[in-house]
Amino acid sequence: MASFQIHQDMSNKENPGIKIPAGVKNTKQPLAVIGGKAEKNALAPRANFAVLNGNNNVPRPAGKVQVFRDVRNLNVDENVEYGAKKSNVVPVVEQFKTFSVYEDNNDTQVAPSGKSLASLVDKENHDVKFGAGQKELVDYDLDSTPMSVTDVQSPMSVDRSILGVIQSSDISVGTETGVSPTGRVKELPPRNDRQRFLEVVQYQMDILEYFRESEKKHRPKPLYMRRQKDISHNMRSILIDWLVEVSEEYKLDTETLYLSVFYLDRFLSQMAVVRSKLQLVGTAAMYIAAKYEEIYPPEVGEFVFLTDDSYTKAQVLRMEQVILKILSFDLCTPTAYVFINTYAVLCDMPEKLKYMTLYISELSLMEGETYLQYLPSLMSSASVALARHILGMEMWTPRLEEITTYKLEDLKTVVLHLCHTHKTAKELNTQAMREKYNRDTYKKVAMMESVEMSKDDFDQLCEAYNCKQKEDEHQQPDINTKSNVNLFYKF
Amino acid sequence: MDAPTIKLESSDGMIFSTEVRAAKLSETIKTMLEVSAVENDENAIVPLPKVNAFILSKILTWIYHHKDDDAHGAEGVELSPQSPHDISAWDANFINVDQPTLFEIILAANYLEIKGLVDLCCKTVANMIRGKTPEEIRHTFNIPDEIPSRTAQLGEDL
Repeated sequence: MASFQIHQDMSNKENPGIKIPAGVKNTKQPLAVIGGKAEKNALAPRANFAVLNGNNNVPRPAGKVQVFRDVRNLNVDENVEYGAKKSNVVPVVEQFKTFSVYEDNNDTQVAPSGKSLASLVDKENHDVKFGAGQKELVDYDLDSTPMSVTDVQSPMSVDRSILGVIQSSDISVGTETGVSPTGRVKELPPRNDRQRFLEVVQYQMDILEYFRESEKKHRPKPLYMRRQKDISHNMRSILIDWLVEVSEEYKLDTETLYLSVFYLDRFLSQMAVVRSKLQLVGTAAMYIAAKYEEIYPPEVGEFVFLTDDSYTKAQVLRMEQVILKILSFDLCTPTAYVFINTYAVLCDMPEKLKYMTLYISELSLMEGETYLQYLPSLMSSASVALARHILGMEMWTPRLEEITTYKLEDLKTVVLHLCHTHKTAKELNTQAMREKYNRDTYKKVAMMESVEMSKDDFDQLCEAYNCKQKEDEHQQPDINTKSNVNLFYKF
Repeated sequence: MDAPTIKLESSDGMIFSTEVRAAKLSETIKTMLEVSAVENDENAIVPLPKVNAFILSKILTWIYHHKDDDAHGAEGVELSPQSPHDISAWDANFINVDQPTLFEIILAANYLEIKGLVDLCCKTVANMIRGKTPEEIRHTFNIPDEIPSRTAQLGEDL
């Protein structure tokens, strides 16, 4: 049977200091042999990307991450073992994983035949001998890597704040959950450094401030439905429920849905619409929102098809023109979804809490009569508060107060309305939203039981929160309100 | 029986009442009427957020005068290409306004999609340009001479 060989060039130009046996010097060595016999040849060790030097003389700081290293008998071909052996990888907390760091010591070298690695370790003046399969406790310090020893800040340098996070927030290595000081499990969102980089945390407060200014412009009239002779809030709810189905069908972003509803409400604030054309207005509004927000918006034909050919392409396009003229092309506005996303970034919101907040916020889209009078920032803040309460968390925190600029008392009316909306969601005829949030993608938050809350209950929660605030102020007068979010890039 | 009327609201809040037949010379208003229940409702108002009261009053004057023109009103009727000289005495008198007003009328007519009025305004501008040198055109429309002439450039080089 023919053998299939993969060769490696043994000239080893990258590591000129390594000596190669004379018989091996100018020959091609197989890395793997399939279906044939081959002698095991000692191969020169490959250079690793990031090297932790075992003999590093740099003084090590006190804070260290302890990692177990496997010390095993490596009397086997390196090529077979190297791929499977993971013990020489320094574990990094999952959410900070940008690349793996390898330790360059005798682990990676092939031991001479008949000798275990333990004997090599012994030769290097180690006090204890280890048999095969035993483990040695090694102290690693991420700061002692050649990458962080240098003072030059390269794009690849690791932010030292990682160490601070590992030590301070009780995160167990290799998991994504940590335990907060109160004993409650804190679920950290599994965001990588790229996502964090795109979240531009250092600008978020300025962005929020701008959003709060711009949300006051171009508001729909809260009582516009009184001027509408032919349509009602119930028809609007049915239309929005259909828009939710459309956005799910075409996997449109949630922001597209929020914008569609916003454009619809603004248009209806200005124009009286006949019921036969209400779906046309909704379709055109979603088409505009999709073109504004999506990377690949659905074509007009798709929207026409969804209306069961009730309207033509020309009608949808004409309606689009009319809506844009009525809205004066002012399409840029922060919605409740934008605020919720920003709060999620700044507060390190767990996924379940975020989805519950979004579910409550989306339920409020259906009830224009109740919620059109409130600003999106207030709606989003109230949604966060209620979601936290439903999930058994403290309803409001000083950090949220700082970010949202709303005190818990300010949210009272909206939270009570939202609580009622959440409670009655099961009884509605329009169930597209519940179906959406019953999926695993959204952690099935729609399945969760609603909570009873009266004005008195809310007042008690407010009192408890205010008392706790006062106690905290007495204990820590100089409380640090800065965000605990760490950035992974030096700017 | 009185002809049906609709109310139009300008950007500065002034409300104008006009006949539906006249208002339908504007394709924008025509589409709005199709979508909305305005025609059957005396109190309903069509908002025109890009047109101020003075310009809207001028435009309503024009469309009221031209409401019976078949060429403008009927859909799909192709007008034969007219020369810029074919401006009626009434239209010439109507469009005899200062430049800022003329340009605002052009913008509003374009926004409201009133083809006849856009054509009239463009003919007027064409007549203002006809037979003039580039220097005279710049002077007429207050266009700054940002590109220096070739001779001036050559003079600098020498």
